[in-house]
Amino acid sequence: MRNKIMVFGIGLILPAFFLQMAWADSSELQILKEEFNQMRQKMETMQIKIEQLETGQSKVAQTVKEEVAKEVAEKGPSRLSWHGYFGWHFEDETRNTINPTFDAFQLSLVSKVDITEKMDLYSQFVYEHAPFYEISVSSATGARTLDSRSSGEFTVNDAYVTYTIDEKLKLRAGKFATPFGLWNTLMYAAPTYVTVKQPGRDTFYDRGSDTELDAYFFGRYSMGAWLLGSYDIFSYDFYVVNGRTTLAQHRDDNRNKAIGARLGIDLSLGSSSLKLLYSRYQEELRASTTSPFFRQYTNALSLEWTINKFKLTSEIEDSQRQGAGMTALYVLGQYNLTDKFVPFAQFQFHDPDKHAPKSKTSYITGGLAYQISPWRAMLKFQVDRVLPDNAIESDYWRFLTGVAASF
Amino acid sequence: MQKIFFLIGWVLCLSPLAFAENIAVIISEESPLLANKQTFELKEIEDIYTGKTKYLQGSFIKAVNQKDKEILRQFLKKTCRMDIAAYQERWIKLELETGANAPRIIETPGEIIDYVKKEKAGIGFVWENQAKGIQGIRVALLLAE
Repeated sequence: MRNKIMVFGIGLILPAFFLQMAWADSSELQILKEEFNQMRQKMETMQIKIEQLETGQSKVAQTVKEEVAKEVAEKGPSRLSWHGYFGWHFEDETRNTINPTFDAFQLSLVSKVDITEKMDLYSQFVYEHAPFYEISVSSATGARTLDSRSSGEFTVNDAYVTYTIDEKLKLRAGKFATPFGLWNTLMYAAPTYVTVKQPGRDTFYDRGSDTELDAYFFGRYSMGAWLLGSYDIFSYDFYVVNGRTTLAQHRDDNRNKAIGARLGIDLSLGSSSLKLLYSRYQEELRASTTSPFFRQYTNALSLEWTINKFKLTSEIEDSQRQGAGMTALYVLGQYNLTDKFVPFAQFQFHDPDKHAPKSKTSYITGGLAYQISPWRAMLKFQVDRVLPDNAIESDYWRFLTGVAASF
Repeated sequence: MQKIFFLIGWVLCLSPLAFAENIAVIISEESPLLANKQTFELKEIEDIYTGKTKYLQGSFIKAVNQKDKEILRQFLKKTCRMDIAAYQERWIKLELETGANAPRIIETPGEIIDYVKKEKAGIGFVWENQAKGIQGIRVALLLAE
C-alpha cells in the first residue's frame, strides 16, 4: 500500500513538475519572443532610418552633381585648355667649320583660359634648347642664387588677352609673335610642318646676323595692340607695336615703333582650297642708340594651295632698308602618300642686298616625314644642298633629322 | 556561267546603294543652339567643326567626332571638304596657335547619342538610321549621300 501511494505520488509530482517546467518554458519563450519582436521592430526602424539617411545623402550628392554639371554646361566644357609641343633634331653638314649638333630645340606649353565668353587669355612658354636652371642655397649665408648650368633659355613667347566683339572684330593686347606670313605665329611648332625647321627658315624667316635686329625683314616678336577678324572668306590683322630692339636677347628698349597688316582670303572649290595672304610690315628704327632713324618697308605674298593630297606652300617678300633692297622666297611641295608618309621638296632663295654682286644663296631640299600619329608625332629626314653665290663659301650639303610631337 | 556573271554584276551594281547612307547631325531635343530654326545650314556645321564658331546663342558649343573612320571621312568631306589628314593638320595648328580644343572623339554611335542627350549644347553625327526613333535628340541637319 505504501508503495502504491509512493508510486501514485511520484506519478502526480512528475507530470506536475514537467507541466510546470513546460509552462515555465513556454512563458519564457513567450517573453523571449516578445523581446525578439521588439528588437526586430527596432532593427527595422533603424534600417528604415539608415535607408532614409542614405537616400538623403544620395539625393544631396545627386543635387550637387546636377548643379556642377549645370554650371559646367553653362560655362563651357573647359575654361582652361592646355597644349604643347616638343622638337628635337640632329644636324650635320659637309662644311668643316661647323660641328654636328644634337638639339632639343624646343619644349613649349600653350595655355588658354576663357575668362568670359568674350574674353580669353593665351600664353605660350618655350624652353629653348632645354635649359637647366637651379636655385642654389649658400650653406654659409643661406643666400639663394639662380644658376644656369647649360645653354638655352626659358621665354614667354606669347602672353595676350583677346576680347571678341564679334568674329569680325577682335581686340588683342600683349606680347605676341608678329602675324606676318604663314608661319611666324607657329615659328617653333615643329609638329605643324613637315620640314625639320620652319619652312623658309633660311630665307623668308631668316634672322640674319644682326642680333639686335632679330630678323631681316620684320620683327619676330611684338609688344603692342592687335586688331583682327574674319568675315566669310576674308580675314585681316592690323597691329601697332614696339619695333625691333637694339638690345640683345629681345630686351625691349621701346626705341623703335612698327605697324603692320595682314590681309587674307580663303577659297575652296571641291577638294581643293587656296589661301592667299598679303603681309606688310613698316618700321621706323635705328640699329644703335647713336645712329639716325631710318625706315624699313617689307611686303610679302603667301600662298597655300591644297589639291587633294598635294599641298603647295610658297611665300615671297621684298624689303627696302637704307637704300638696300632685299628679297627672299621659298616654295614647298608636300604629298600625303599615305596616312604615314609625306615626302616633300623645298626651294629657297635669299638676296640680302639686291644691288650687291654675289650676295645670293639658294637652298634645295628633299625629305620625308613619317607620321607616327598624324600631326601628333612625326619623324623627319631632310637633305639640303646649299648654294651660296659668293667668293667666300662654296656649295655644301646639310643633313637633318628630327622628331616632333604635340599634345 | 552567264548567270553567275549576271548575279555578280547585279550585286556589284547594288552594293554602292546598299552602303549609301545619310548622315544625321544630331543635337539635344532641348538644345539652345538652333534657337527658332528647324535646321542648320551646311556652312554653320563647317564653321563649328573647323573651329571658326565657338559660341551659338550664348552657349559654348561642344562638338564631338565619331571614331569610326568611314563616317568621319564622309562627314568631313561633306561639311568641311577635307580629308581626315587635312582636318587633323588644321586642328593641330589651331590648338598650338590659338589654344583651341579640337572636337572630342567618341567611340560609338550610342555614346554620341548619350552625350548629345546630356549636353544641351552638344552636337555630333551618326548614320541616319541610328538616330531614328531615339527620344531626347533631334536631327539638326541631314547630309544626303
